[in-house]
Amino acid sequence: MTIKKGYLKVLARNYFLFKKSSLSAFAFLLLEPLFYLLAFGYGLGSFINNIEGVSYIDYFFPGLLCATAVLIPFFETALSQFSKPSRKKLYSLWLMTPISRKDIIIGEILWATTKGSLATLAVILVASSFGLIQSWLIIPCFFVLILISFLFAGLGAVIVSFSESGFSIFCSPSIFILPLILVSGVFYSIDILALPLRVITYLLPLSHGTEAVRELMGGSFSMMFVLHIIYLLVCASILFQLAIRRLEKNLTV
Amino acid sequence: MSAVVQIKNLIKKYDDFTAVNISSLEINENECFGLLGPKGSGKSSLAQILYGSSSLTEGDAFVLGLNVQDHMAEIKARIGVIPQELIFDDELSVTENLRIFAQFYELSTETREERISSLLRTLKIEDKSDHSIQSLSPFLKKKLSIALGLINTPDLLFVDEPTLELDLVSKKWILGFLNDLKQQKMTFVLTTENEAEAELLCDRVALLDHGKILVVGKPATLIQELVGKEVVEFECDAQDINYYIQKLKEQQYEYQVYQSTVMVFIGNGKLAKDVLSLVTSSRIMLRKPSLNDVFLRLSGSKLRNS
Repeated sequence: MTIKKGYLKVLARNYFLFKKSSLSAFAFLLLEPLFYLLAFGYGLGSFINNIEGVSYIDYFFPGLLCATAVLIPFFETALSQFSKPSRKKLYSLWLMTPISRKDIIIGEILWATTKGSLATLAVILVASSFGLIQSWLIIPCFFVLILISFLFAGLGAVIVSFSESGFSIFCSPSIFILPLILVSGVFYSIDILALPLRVITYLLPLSHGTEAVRELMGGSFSMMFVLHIIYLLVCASILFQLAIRRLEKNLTV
Repeated sequence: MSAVVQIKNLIKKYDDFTAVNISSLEINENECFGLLGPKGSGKSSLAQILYGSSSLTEGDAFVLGLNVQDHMAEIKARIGVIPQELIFDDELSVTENLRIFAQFYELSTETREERISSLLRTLKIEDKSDHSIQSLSPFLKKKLSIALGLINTPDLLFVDEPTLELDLVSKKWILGFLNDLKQQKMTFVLTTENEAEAELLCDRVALLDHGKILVVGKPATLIQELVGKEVVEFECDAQDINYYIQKLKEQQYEYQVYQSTVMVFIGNGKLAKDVLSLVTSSRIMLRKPSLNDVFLRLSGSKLRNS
């Protein structure tokens, strides 16, 4: 007998613990995107007539959803899961059961994806009470956001695998994630960037996420959308494979 | 009796250091087998290879008839491990720990709940079922660790230093519990540096030193054959040791010197009182031999520095 889909057991354990102890912490986590929504969407947005033909809040909201789908899964894998020594010990206990190293890594990445998806869903629900969501197109958007969550859960895991000490993990938000969010079309259109910067931005996966979500929510649908999705899928699967390969060796203490 | 563990030319290396080097070993069903040796003797490394926490460098090892190199998941489903270190899911309660762990073994809900309540009952921790891990004493943590090791009703149980860092009363309880398991025909491999524990629980033991097996056998037989029925132990000054050794040699006694202590093994046809009358030392005693003496005899060192 071998265990089938052991990663689902790891996922189930994390979900159980989340339900048990972190629901209130999760609610606080959601305050951040909502503050952004109020400060940038309504506050700053009131000084801006419109951007690409829509009001600033309607422009900013898809970007905010994407930023949420980046931050929550990324911090889940980069900060709370693979890096803690106590967590590594727990893995060594789990490895005494038929659960494999691969099961643990996949389970943790899927959990971070789930947490990111739940967070974006919560932001969507709150935003709909402000009247920001008027179209059923939010449903396909949500699938794109799940894909973004998965991608950044994998990125967090890869970054952990490269960091010998905690140093680079704690620096990665400021050297990596924050600049990424600032240049990837969350707050403003990528088109205003200088050409070299625009090229770099398009190599980064998040800009494809923001453009795909924004395009979909605007109701338009082009060949570019398909290319964005393909790019996201390719990046996500590369990071996922890389995370598994690199973490399998040093999962435990 | 069939073998639950078979080892053939097993070598485990860490870089250039050879931690384990065993040409052959078999452990039988319904047997309590002890791996006895001091720290760094390779006993834990060997156990870890068998329960899948470490990989071997060369050779073959079979557990429950399955090769550890390609059937570890199947082996893990059928064995239980009670590690020396107390590790739990700290954010979960006692029952939740057992429940999540049981799910990793794919037990049905019914079997799982039955098993959990039966383990809580036999380990006498029913009243602690919803307690947090932090609130447990080391003794209760050890009990929970035993429950985790037994959750899947294993065919073979690995127990690593079960009583280390416990007080005397707790030690006695744990040893009593393991003895009960033995009476119920549980097959287990006990890793320990405590000879008394090995003598109490094990049907057979392997004495290990520097990664190699010195000898394998029944504790009583090993003691009888390699040490004898009694041991006279005395301490003396460095200059006197040579005098006594000369005397002991003349009278053909088996003995072992360890630092300033001389141990004389009283075999068949010898009498302890003859040695007692030979030696004038204020620190002299006559005692029962143990596996520690067997180990000392074969390796020249003690199991523990006590």
